[in-house]
Amino acid sequence: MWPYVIGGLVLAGVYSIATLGLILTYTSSRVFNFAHGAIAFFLAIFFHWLAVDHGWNPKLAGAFVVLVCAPLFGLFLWWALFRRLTEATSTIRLVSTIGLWVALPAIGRILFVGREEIFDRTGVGPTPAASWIRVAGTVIDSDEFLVLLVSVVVAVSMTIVLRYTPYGLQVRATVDSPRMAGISGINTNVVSAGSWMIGTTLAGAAGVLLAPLKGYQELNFTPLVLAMFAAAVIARFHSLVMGVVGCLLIGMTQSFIPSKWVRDDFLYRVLPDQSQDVLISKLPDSVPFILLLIFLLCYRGVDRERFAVDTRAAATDGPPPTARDLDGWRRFRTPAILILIVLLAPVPLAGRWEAIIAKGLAVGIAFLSYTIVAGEGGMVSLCQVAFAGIGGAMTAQLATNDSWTWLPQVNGLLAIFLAALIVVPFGLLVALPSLRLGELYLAMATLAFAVLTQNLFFQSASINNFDGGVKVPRPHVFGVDFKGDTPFYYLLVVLFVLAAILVMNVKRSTTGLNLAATRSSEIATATLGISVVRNRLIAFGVSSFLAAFAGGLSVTYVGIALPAREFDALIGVVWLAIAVTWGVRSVAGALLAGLSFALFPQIFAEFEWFILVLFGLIMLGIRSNVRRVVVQRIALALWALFWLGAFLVWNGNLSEVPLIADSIREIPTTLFGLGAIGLAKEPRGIVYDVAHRSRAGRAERAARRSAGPSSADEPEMVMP
Amino acid sequence: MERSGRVSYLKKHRWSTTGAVLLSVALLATACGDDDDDVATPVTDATSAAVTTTEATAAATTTAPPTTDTTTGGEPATTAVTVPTPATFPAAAQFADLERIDAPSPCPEIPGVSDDTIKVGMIVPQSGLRATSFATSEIGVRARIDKANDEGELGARTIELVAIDDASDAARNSEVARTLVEGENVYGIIEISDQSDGSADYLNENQIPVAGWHVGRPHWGQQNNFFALRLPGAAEPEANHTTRTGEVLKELGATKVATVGGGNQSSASFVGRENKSIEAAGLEVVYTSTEIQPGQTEFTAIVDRIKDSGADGLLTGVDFLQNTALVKQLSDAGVELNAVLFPGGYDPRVLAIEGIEGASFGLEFYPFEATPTPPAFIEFDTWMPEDGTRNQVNYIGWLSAEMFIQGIKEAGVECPTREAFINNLRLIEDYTANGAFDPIDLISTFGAPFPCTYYVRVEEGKFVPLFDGKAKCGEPLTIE
Repeated sequence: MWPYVIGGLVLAGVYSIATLGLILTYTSSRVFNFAHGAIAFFLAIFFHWLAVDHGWNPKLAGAFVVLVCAPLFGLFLWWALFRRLTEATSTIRLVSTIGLWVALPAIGRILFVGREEIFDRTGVGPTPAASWIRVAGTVIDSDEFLVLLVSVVVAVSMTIVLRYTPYGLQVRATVDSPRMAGISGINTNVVSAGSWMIGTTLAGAAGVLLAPLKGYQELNFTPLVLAMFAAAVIARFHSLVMGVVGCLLIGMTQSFIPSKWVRDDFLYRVLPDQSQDVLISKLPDSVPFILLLIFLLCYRGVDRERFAVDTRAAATDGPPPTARDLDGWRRFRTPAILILIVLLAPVPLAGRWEAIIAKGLAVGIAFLSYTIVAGEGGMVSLCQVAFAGIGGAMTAQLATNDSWTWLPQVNGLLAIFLAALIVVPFGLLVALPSLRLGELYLAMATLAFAVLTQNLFFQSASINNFDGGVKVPRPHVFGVDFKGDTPFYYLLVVLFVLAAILVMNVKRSTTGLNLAATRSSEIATATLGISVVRNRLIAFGVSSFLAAFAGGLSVTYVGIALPAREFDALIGVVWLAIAVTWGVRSVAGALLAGLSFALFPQIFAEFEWFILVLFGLIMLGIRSNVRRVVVQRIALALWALFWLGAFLVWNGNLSEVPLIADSIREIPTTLFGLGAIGLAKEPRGIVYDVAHRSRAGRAERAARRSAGPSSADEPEMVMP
Repeated sequence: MERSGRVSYLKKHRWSTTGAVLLSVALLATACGDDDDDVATPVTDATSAAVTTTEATAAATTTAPPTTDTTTGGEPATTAVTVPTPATFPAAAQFADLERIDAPSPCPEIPGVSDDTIKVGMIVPQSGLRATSFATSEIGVRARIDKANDEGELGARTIELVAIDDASDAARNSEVARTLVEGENVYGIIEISDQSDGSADYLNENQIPVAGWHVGRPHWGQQNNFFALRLPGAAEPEANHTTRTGEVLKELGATKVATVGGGNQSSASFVGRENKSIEAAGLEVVYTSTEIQPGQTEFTAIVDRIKDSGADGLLTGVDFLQNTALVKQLSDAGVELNAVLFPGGYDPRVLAIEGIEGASFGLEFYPFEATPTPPAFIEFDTWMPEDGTRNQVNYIGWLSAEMFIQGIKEAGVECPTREAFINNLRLIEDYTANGAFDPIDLISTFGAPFPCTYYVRVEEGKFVPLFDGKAKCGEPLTIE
């Protein structure tokens, strides 16, 4: 009994330290920091870098990281990002911190890890952990003891600070009503910055304490992230006490699940025999989100009001673009060029690159699903990847009849279609309970669905096959054999175009118009008698179909359905970042997102100089887009450095540059994360931005030519 | 070219002592699946039974020959390890009419081969949790290639290595193989990954020479273009095994054994097979688990159950970090074990770890501690980077490269066609990797479970070869 109690307390301790920081920052700024766990990871590997790579005394390094660097880092993040988000729309608030979640670990690995994984467990205490104390015959080692100690200290000091200090009073005032607090003379910015500093410090402490227990891989931090999110929901994002209670609940449950009493005496009797072990071993990781869903359903009945109140957020994402469509042949110019490029690509790129582009096309269809759910519906869904994974897994089962022998075996292409249809009810099931609760809850619920699907479905023996996956044959339809790469490539092109037409039609349909109206004002739309929930459900259904269809195509193309690896819940987070970076309003955005998801990692791995090209482009972009002269000059200098770098490439020396060699694998992820963060500035994504600029420029030139200033005021819109 | 920079990065080691230990060591139990277990059983079918009786008994009782002079020539006749004739194993039947191919003249254009270089790919998990078990093998591969290039072993040509990460992911593995073959245009591939199934069919269809570590994947004993560094393991590992592990545990003093594995296919099926082996040796399996997750190092529940089971022996199929964590937590909980057997993880740095005393390790080559030191190890030691550890994973890399280079030589260094590589290398009858293990006949061992392997135990902080440094063999075992 005791070992489980202590194990549970240790888990709960780490979770609470981090969760308290998360709730504090949310309450004081209304920005839910999805990147909280990423900050913990970032600071943990920074600690490791100091303590191991640079030989600092671990205690000194720990204190320096947690007490000095973490608050400064928090202040920097607040200044650079979070303070801007407070006034942004809720979608952008969510997506920007999700971008940080994606980018920060990648940046950390570039800076502090390089290309080798860290496998040691160096911590602040002795390494390896010393067996310090025995309680009831159970050893508490030094790392565990530190966790328990710090969590008690944090809980006590947080209580004292919030209850009995002037700062605490200000924080509580700001939480209750920022406006009232402001009117009473409280500088809410200072309060907010202060709480971000404390929040980051707590994240850092959790990271530095957790790593020696679990390891320094990002994967080892996932349980922390999930537990924090669940505890935050249990706390309804504001109650520190409930947060700690939630952490205790999660930690204890996780610790006791593998025990005799729970597993042998209960779970083994309840669960079906098959794949029992796998399910049970994944159950601790699923606990947070199972609890999250339970609490979400309970809370819904208790007080729905509280969730909806968010006085600070503006309801819309900027004025609707007032543009007219391009006329005549111009309407078709961009799509035609894109289609031409895609159609001709296999000619010069036969073989491997063709395969990569094909995969990009398949994933592009999944990104089209974001066009519906996020672009039109204005909903942040983190489970498109789970839909794709289920689609892939079902396709494999239908096409091969591998382990689910009760399923009929059907032709490959039909299997993909049927699998996608099977997924639709799941999509509706996820969306239904959470749609009324607001965006943050929807994001949480969809993430929960993705994680639970990953743990309990993708990992089951019949799907995962011990990480070997299920082999999927390529289809043979209408006398055409799609076994070869090139025929399948063209099949993908055709299907992408069909999916794009479907998406554009949905946009133009009544549902699409209703969704657009809802995006503009939910309340006004409801007042007109339009069912907001019904339209959003349709959007979710269509998008889950598209995502699942893409998943089926992808596994058929690769030849192996291994959703646990290919459609991991966290990959879904990266997907969202990529999709919003390019823009979720257009088909072109989805296509580019798909292509860049598949191509970028390969391009960077193959051609290191591409990093310099990209860097040069970014610098040029800054130079031409930023007004401040200093920034322009810096960009110019960096641009010159770019050419110097290019010179190095010419000599083949680029791989010697350590930062470049170390960062190749991380750069695509970093870029997409940063792109999503950048949405705070341009919410419509790159495609919109570029197209908008070029059209605005053209209109301006045309206006100048005709010498009449009147025609230039109307900016044009981008994609249909 | 870019990737040659990797050597320097590999050299800079950042791990702390202990961590480091674990780290590279972390060999794999996963992998272990391979040497140890797969090495298992000849004699699968009824047909083979007749043939095997004699050999099997011989194999069971004998250990490997006294390997005083281990260079190439341990005559198969004297080595008790000799395996049954090709006819015994269905998988080897495909080589019945194999004959040596001479270099064509004039020499055609060979993919990946230029006038002065041969481009060779390497697939290895460099990222992800399983990288612990494989990543550092690249150091050994590069050391062996450096030797070949420096000494002009391949005539006018040198080997250029392009290593790519498959993250231990079957789908990635498939992509990476395509990248190497079509994008990098490599001549052949050195593969050290537990997910080699991902690309196996593609590489086989294109008849690309592959050498490396089979990590328990049966296709290494089924497909003709795959060359395991020593033995490919059984073509049907689920049906054929050996009593070896059970007997080793018995000799180490175990009566009730706990077996622990999990994560991937290799590890899970490893535990399943070894349970049969243990029972066949007359021991009892009192606890078994295949649910350990990659990266998991917290074993409260498992320790609890092992304690309750009264086990006095432990066999694991997990990675080294997990092995050491498990051993420590068992000792914290007051569990005393007579026998602890790890199928991999043989690395001098583990000696510093608390609780490792008395643990035994399996390996597929003579122990480094063998006396006199076989010349193969002196070479290895000479060519490894000075700050690189000499351990099982690195040496597995070295042996994989050794096999690949041998293949090029067999194909003829002047004009090494892929076809000749795959054909002629298979014809070697007494392969010892320059004296690293007892001679192997590459055809008769193909697809055959193999009964013998080598063991060391930690005694007073040092590795001591078990069974006089000779291979310990088991009897064939057919699993129903």
